[in-house]
Amino acid sequence: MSWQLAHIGPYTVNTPAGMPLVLCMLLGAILLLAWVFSSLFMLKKTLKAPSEKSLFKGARATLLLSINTLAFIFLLGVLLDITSTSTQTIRAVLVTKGTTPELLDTLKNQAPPNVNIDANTSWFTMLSDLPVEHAKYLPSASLLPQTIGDLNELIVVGDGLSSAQWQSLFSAAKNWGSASQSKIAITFVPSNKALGIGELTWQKQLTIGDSLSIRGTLQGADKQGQDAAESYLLQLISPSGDVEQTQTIKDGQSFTLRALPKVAGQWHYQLRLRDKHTQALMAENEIALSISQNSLPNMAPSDVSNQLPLNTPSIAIWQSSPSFETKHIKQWASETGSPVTVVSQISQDAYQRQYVNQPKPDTGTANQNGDPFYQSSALDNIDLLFIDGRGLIRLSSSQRARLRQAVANGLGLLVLADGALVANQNAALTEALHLPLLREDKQAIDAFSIVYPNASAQSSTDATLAASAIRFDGNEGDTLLAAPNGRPLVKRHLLGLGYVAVTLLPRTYEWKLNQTNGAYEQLWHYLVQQVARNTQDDFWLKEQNNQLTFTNKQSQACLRTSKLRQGAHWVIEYIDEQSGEIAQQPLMLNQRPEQPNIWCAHYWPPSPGWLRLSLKNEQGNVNVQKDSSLKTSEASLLAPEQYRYVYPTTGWLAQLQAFKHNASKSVAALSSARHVDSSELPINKGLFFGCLVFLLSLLWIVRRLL
Amino acid sequence: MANDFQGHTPPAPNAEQVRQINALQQVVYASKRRKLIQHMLFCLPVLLLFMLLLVAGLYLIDSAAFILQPLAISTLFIMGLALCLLAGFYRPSYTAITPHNVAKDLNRRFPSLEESCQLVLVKDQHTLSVLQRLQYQRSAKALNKLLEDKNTPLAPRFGLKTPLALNLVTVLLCLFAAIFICNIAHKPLGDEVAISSAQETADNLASDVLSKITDARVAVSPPDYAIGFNGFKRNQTQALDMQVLTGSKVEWQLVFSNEPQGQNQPYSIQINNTQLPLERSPDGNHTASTVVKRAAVYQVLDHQRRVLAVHSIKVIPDESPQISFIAPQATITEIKSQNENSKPTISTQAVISDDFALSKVEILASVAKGSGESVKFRDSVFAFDTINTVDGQQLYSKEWDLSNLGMEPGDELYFSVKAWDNRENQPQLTQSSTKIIRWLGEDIDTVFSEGTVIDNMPAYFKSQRQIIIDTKALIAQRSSLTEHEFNHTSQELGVAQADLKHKYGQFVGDEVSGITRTMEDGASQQQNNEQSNERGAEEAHEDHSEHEEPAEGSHDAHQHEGEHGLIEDKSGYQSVIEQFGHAHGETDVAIFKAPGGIEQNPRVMMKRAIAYMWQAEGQLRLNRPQDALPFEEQALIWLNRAKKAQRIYVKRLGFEPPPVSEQRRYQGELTDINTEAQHTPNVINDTDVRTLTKAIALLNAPLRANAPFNEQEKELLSQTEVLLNSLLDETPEVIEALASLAQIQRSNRRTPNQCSSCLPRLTGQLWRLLPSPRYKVQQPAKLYNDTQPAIKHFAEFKQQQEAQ
Repeated sequence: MSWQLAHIGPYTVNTPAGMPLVLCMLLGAILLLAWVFSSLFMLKKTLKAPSEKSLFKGARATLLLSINTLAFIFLLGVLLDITSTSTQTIRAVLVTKGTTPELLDTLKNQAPPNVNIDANTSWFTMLSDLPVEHAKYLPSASLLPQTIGDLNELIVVGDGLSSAQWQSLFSAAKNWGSASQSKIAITFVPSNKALGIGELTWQKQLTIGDSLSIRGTLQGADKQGQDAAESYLLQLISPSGDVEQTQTIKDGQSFTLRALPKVAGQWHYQLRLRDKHTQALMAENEIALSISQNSLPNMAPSDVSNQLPLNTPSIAIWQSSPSFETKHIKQWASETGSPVTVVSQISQDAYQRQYVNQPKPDTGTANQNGDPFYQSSALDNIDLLFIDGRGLIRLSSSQRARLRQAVANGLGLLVLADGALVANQNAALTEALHLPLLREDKQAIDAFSIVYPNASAQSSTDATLAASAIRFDGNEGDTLLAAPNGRPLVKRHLLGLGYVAVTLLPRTYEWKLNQTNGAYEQLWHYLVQQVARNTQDDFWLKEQNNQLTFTNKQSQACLRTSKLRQGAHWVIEYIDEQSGEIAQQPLMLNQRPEQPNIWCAHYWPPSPGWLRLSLKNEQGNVNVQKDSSLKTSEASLLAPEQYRYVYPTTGWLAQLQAFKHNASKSVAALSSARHVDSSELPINKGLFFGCLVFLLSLLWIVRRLL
Repeated sequence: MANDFQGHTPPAPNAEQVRQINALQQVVYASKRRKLIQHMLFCLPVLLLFMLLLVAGLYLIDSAAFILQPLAISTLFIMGLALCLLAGFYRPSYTAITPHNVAKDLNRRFPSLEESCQLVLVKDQHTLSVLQRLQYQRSAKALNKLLEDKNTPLAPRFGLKTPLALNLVTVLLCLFAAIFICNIAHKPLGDEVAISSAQETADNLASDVLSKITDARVAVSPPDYAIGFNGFKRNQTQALDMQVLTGSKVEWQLVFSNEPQGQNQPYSIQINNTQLPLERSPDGNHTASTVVKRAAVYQVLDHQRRVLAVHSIKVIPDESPQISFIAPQATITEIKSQNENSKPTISTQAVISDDFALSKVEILASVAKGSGESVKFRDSVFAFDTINTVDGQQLYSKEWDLSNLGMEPGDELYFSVKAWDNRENQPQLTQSSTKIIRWLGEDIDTVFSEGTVIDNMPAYFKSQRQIIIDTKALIAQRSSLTEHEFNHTSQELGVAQADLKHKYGQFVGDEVSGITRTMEDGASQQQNNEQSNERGAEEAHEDHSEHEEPAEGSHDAHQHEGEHGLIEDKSGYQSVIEQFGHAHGETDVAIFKAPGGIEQNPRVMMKRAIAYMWQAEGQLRLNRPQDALPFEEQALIWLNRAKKAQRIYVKRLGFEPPPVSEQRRYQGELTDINTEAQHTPNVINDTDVRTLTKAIALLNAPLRANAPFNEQEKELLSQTEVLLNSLLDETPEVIEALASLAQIQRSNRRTPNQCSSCLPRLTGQLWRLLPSPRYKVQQPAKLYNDTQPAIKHFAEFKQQQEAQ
């Protein structure tokens, strides 16, 4: 504790720290009295000297008093705490990618008016190719805190930093706060926007039959200093070089492009942005896509024509009478390789069974104890069961319970609603199978074109389908298909691990007969994927739609598996950029505590291009060692693989710039206001002490020698 | 006593002494053995080192010889051992091992012998003094004790530890040295073998190095009829990858880096499975020529049939003439009866063009007089009156005076334009669609209401039956006709079917007389300004050429274009709908009437007949009359039904009776019904698609090593080559894929060194050839929602966030 005695300009005079006030006062009084008495003493002695002239005496007295007074002052300076107060702003300017010399020149103009960029500013740069005077090179933004220490203002120039870079920067600093709540003032001076596609999303991994949907936003270039075209032509180029789709687009406008990949493999689509008037190529992006035949590894089609494709879901139909609808469903499903079982009631107690793409089972197992309905073991091997309303209501309680249990275990159930189901709907049936509520409405007969919800797909035809005189009652459940006016046509409920869906479209085969360009197959492909049993096989989770993997950037891969395979290890394989040979890196999978069937690993891809997540043992790739003529039932023996594409860091400039701009603007907006640091520094007492000694010496000389 | 000793025969040693002497002798033997062993152990390291040096030297000098002579080395080693052993026998230390020395050694080692063991060896004891004898007895006893003690070794100890250790060290040293020498020698060995083999190969191939093309000139001469048109000239120079007009003569002039001696025609060109030998001229050029009629990939081969270069020849087809009517636009033009002073005339104008030149243009006209069964036709051939050049195009004009043709009101004139181009040997013919000029009579009602459709049907239209008759006749005459005649006739029938289809289409709302454009005219025309731009699409539908059209392209393309009109309105479909307001393409084929209602709709029946006519026309244009016949018959059936419009109409698709109640259902047995078990897969396998898919899977593998193909893969590439060759006529662009495939097959790798773009070019072309994939039954691969409430709530929260 000290007390301020005086404040002279930037200097503050305080009592010695830790000294009580009484003592300070006492000491001060003593020193003052000592000065007074010593001055009087010297004055008296000087004036009494007999041999000197009075003028000389006066000068000598004045000199002595002056020296004594100065010595007293310096003594006080030595004894008291004197500090100097400085107010300064510790500022750093971080030059990031995208900065141009012109931007640096205009930095002063763009900085706030009360900021003097030239004073107290440390310059740092993350660019090795742009010379910045007096700037220190930082390979990573996280090195900034330890390089500069304290900081109260940071100006970021250029593209800025990504979210991950901001987080690592704040993590490396002690007192800077966090990215969402920075304690230092952050100013972001953005670079000119590059023309290109931003906020791009697309599914990186697809299966055959899935359509590719690319969404994004056009980020137009800043118009200052550039002649920016008002509208552009966006082209989607297929792997064969043909223009798949063209769309006219303007700055800031969102777009959606669609394509249907033709064959499995690893392919590149091109996204080209052209000036609409001059057709000049403005920007080009590569859309990498891995298409698999199914969810399992990409095996080449079998040579044997009668061998079924792997991993084809098993379809079953239970109907109270044969119908055209199920006939065409059976035909489509069987043509694409699925085993299909059809059980049709042809009389009161007689059922006709039909087995397609599978051997006929033993009679005993098909119909045990006179119960014609599928047994539990059969239901466990079925992935999707079609049942008409009349057939559903005729199920006995035991059959219904069996069906319920099967759905709870994962079976997909699709009910073809009819009048019989609506008329005989009861609480027991609805609750047992968690059916959506239905009601009859004769006015509901109509024909609609089909709308896929959430724009997940787009129907390839405008032809309509008839809807029956039934409506869904209530808002529960997911709508799988709807009419353009919003009326749900197919709904789905969750029951345990499986789904129960009800369709109000009794004659979808009209699309097939009217040759609607694959719309029929697309519709059922979509419905089967939404309702059928989930695969039990292991698979790699797909990359996020908005995620781009770059070289040497941290990426994550997650595997869904019930049990990790022993005796083998997961690796990423890639083409090494230097040697051109296939190299591999191990993947260390860690189990998620909250999701035990998900195992994740981080990796840093070292080279651009395709990489593959695969399983290796001592002999090499596990899947390659399997017999090429793998049977359908042995599909689960294959280890899941996934292809991913790694982009070079020089690509996707507009997208990366957009990410960084957004992140930096967000951090700057959330940062604290600029404040000024005032610091009190004790001055060097050496001068005072030296002067004191000199003056005392001078005093002695003057007294003795003069 | 001394005299007793003189001349006295020494007495034989006693048994005891003999035993002791023998024992000592045994000790001597044992000592010698040990000494030899020690000697050999000392010699062995030296011998090993010597052998090591010898072997290393031989290995480094002549490793091949060394490797092949292990017997010599081992013999040397054994000889060395033998020499050492022999030397051991002559060593002083070995020869010094005598019984006396052994006895001395025993004396030193065993004090009990009292330095007198050697006395045992004296066989004649009488030569010993008394003292010696006494000493002998005492030492003999001591010796006996020693001999009886089996635990006391009597033989002198020759240390073996040291030599053993030395041997161990030496062996280890030799091992390390051997490994070191082998490692050093491995590389030089490998290099040596490689160098030697390379030298050997080089020596063998000194006279057979793969040649390269150092200079190439290709002169292309188009057919005579094309010279002067479209920039075609004689002897135009092109690159080795060339683009020529079909029928052009191509002459190669090549210079190679290597001129094999003793070969008259060392190089050749293989094109379309034909080998063209390159003639060598005195100036060093190698020349060959051929006439190219279709696109091909050709290879330059040397005398060993090794491929030196692969290039492609693209062929520009000679297009057939294009005919576009300016007037009249409509298919049917009606001329009303005027007063007697004015003449019934009509003007015909057409723009006829060809990529080269036209050789002949004529108008084929038919005049129909009468109606019903008494209609009579008179055919004539006319020429255009004038030919003018307007905007660089040739405009053909003719004025028809119906009176001069002998027509009267009520008669009809049908005419079409035929144009031949100037292609040599086989000029290509294009025949336009038929235009109908109808001279209306006074009593004919021109209202085209549905009820009077049939009455106003022109006589020309009553030929669906005739088409069937002609088709059957063509099928019957197939064996007696040449292919050209057969195809020509089939094409003509297709034209006739198309005419009929167009005409019936008018009466169901496709075309209405007076409208300046028809559906088949293609893209919408902006009056006359964009006519030239739309000519291609228009004439593809309007004109009837001899080129084949895909069977399913007609009707399906029509619908296909309609359904994609949202994005691109190439067919003009959307504009038609906008113009007339009715949904031609979207009208339900099946009309579902309300229960109890009776409707008749001949228009719908006519539409069905037209649909069958589409199919029939497509098959006829593909020269498949046998496939067209069923469609023609169905069209006739529905045409007849349309005439009888008084009928009850039921749902065309899937009549579904009301469900039968369970009480009324039969209780039948299954004895007569066989359960149909289809064991064989019902999967549709398109062989061509499968081949392309497998080829793509083989080639488009980014993480597969660029290793040579195995036999299966080569077979697959061969199949792909065959498939691409079969598609070459339809899709000339396939030639690029063939050229790339040839390069890949030649290099036997996916990425040839000399053509880095071959692989992406080939895979892109294969992609283009594939049809759209079929939507298949796919099993979903999703994560289950965890049933734990906390996780479930979190999952729902995340979903809501993502939805926002």
